[in-house]
Amino acid sequence: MFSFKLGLKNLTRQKRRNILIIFVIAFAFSSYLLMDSLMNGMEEMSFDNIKNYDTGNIQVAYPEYWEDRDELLLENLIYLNQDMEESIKNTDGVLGMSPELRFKANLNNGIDEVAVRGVGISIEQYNEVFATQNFVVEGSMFAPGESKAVIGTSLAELMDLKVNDYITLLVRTKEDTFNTIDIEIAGLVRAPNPMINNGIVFVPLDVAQEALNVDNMVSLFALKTVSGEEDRIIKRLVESFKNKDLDLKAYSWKESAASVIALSAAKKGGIGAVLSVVLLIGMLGIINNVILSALERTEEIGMMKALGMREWEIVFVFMVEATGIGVLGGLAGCLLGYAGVSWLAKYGFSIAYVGDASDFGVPILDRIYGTWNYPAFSFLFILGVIIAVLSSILPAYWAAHKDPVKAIYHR
Amino acid sequence: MTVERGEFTTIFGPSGSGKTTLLNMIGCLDTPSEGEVKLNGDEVSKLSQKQLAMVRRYNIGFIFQAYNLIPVLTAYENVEFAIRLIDHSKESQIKEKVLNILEAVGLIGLESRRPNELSGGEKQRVAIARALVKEPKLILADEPTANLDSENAAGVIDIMRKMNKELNTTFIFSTHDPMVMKYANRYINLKDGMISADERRG
Repeated sequence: MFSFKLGLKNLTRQKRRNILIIFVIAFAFSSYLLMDSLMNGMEEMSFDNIKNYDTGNIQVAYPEYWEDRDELLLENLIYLNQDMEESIKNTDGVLGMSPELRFKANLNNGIDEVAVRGVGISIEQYNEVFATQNFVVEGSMFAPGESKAVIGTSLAELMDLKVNDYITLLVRTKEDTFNTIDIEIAGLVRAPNPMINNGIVFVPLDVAQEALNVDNMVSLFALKTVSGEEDRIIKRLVESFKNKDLDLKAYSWKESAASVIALSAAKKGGIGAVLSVVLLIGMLGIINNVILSALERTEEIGMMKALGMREWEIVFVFMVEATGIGVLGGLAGCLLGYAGVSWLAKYGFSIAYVGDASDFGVPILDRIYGTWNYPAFSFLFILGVIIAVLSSILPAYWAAHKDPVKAIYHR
Repeated sequence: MTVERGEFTTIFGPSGSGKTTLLNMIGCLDTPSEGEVKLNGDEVSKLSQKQLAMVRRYNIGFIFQAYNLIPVLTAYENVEFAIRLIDHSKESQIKEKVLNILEAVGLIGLESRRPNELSGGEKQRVAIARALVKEPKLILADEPTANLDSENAAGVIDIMRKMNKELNTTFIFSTHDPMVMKYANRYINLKDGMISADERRG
């Protein structure tokens, strides 16, 4: 116990150096915590933005359509019927269902033309599944039975369009003939998912079906379900489709979020690399400190050996000191990290500093908000202490292994 | 050379004559390349480093010219440090032993001072208390008064002499100082690593 006390008291020697090492460790630890919080926040927001504005929790479609879904073809569509809709809607865990007819279109404002994705929606059902209506910044979503469109603010800005302006959507029908949808803009939306703002035009489902000549058909159903229950609900849906002899399949939102999930996997690798650097900084700081302390205290080590202390007892004194630095650095890092993550969770980090996040495949518009990852705090703290202990062992043994005569007389 | 229990022996000789080397070998800090060292009749020169550490821990106290106190510990704690290595008694018993020895070396009242708050003589008295607190059979002192003025040097030697008489502890110390030599009851002169004179007094 006295060796423990001595190790702790030794922390008060070379205060400036110890404080510097503690600060470096704290800075490295807090940087990691901030990065982890931001990355997790980005991941969480990206997933939410995909679920809440694009895919819903589950999508139901024919496998043939699903395979080529990005092509927005008018093939392998689902013919709407009451029985099928009821069956999906009544599946345990399903909270809402939105039939969608997705199609390729060119938006023409009378001067310019741009390729967009048209989405025919049944507005009441759409609002049950998606939160887009909460982000209408001008005008409103179109009402049921109303033949109007909603577009994103970025698209409106690009095409110099306002609410009540008319747009023309040039489309190809199922038979590959040209057709147009002339429609008034009911509202402009600025949703957290930039894809909604940049290139989507929402029109009433019946308008789209008529223009595309697809009768009463849709591309897919987007479902809102109890969050986290997707896999279980998919099983139920598949079972129900089988019983009704339908070839439909249900797909989790994750299948439409491949790029974000890939980014998330890359994030884990990046975080791992940052963690390695953080721990390396801690290790180098501790090793450097033990070596310098041992050099400064050579005569003291000699005296300890003369008193009959064994090598491991001297090592223990240095390890306690190194562990103390690790604990203080870890605590300070966690405190700094706590303050930083609190700030990030409240005010967020504007991605305007790094450009348009959607360019990197991240479906986030303005700010990334940090999330709390409490296990990361305890994990980092414990790992920091373990690294401090481990990295002090070798230099401490080097110190304790000194020849007592040479140490006492500092030869 | 044989030193009897309770002897107060000084080793005298010019620089490089081998005083410190001899003390280091007697103190189990160093091992001889030839010959043997016996402590209490037991051969110690062939022991492993671990075993030598245990011999030093239980049998030998050291006093160094540069005191070698731990600067972050108080006078009390510097002395306590030595006894904690061998004595696992209750806190109150340890405290009694430490305070007794500090009183014996005249440091009562200064026990909570750190080394930087003590004079050279006081520091050396702490070092003596540290060496004596575990009541070793043998105390080795390498030029214990070299850094002290004559008044403090006399004080330190007086204390060592007193402890030698009261506890019958064997003292072997090296010195250059003729004033210190006169206190010794055995005088060994070294020259070029060889004993050139070995006298016992009174």
